[in-house]
Amino acid sequence: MSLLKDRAAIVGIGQTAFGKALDGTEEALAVAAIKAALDDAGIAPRQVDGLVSFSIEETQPDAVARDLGMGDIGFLAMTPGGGGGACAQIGLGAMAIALGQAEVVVAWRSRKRSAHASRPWAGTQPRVRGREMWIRPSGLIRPVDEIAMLGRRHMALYGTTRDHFANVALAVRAHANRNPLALMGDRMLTREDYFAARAISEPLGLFDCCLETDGAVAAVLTSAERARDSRQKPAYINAFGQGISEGSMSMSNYFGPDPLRGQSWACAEALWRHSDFGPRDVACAQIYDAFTPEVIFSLEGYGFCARGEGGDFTADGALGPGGRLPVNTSGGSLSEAYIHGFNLVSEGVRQIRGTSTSQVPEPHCVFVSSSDGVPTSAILLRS
Amino acid sequence: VAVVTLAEAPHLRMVGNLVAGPQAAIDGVDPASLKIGMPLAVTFRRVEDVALPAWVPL
Repeated sequence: MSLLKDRAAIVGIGQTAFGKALDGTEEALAVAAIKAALDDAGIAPRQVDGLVSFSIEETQPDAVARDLGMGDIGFLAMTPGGGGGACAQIGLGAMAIALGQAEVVVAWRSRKRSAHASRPWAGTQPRVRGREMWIRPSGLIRPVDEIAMLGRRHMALYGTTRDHFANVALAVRAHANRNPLALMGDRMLTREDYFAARAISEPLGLFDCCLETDGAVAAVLTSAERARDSRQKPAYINAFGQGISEGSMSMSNYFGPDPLRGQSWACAEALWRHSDFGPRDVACAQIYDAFTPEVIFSLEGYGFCARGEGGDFTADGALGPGGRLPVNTSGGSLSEAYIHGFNLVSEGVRQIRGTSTSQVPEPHCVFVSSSDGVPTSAILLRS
Repeated sequence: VAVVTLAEAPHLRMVGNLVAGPQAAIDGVDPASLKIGMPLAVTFRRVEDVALPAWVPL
């Protein structure tokens, strides 16, 4: 049995504008998004008693508490990430609430990564050490290079094609075209555009890659009891999982026993174990999409289809509006904004509320995942 | 760039460039000529004071 199931809910979400070269520091963006989420929930900053953050988040919890005028904080957690961390923040917050360690928990992610110089690989040194010396010298420098290698292997083993990757990019863009707040909201993308775009790291091209974005997103969680009286329809956390797959390595997962058994596989075990739902019950999925192959890997890892069938699963508009499993209905990392997947969490909440711009008809169960490529996490939201 | 399994130690894999010969350029192999599973032989490319393993298609 699970002590977590449906005991906590997301009752507030907030975000800044998404864009390039936004004004203000990452801290200012974080504070603005958190304030928006608290206002959405109708909860005053002084009622917050728990803060959950990413390990690579620049804005420290005490700064958030000071800037927003919070009182004493009694629960703090920090999760690895990066791209694996957004769902873990929600899950850890829900656990703290379920155990009575906190009553109102805030989680957030703020990034200013639209400038080239702000990206970690821009600082790659001429001489690398440790694990990197086995990978970087041959030219696998950026995250896209590391995932491209795994994408190529999926193509070779299972007959996956660039048309399948394009299916992901086009479906997510079609959702973004319904979302006026998405960075690519008013930009159409055709299959011809996809194939005409420049290669970034073969077999991946420009439209296989997420945006680089300035912006912040935040969420407010509270107990199921308190959520019943909340201003917004609660999105209950039905299940939560985290995962590192046996023998795997973050991003360059080439050296373990099974390179295509990404982090999703371990996380899936933890997620579905205590849930009332299975993959077939999911009304829509918000799947971490820094690169299109990650969506295909995650569809397999979480059991939406069998191993090797992720490419075929994307056919016939399955992931787009009105499809069998609409994916990334706000436009995701590929076409809305890249906030390390935290915007996937807020879109999951909008689906539960019925306020998505690409709304599914019966959103009883919404799946949200973080990156397949790094120590990861996933949640199931229920209405 | 390839991930290479060592024939003598199949539990070990290495990442390296594909090259036509010992001192050949790293862009000298036609990608269309490459197939996953093809045999390779090791060579070592000298870069400043280090020797980087690279792989020659057989």
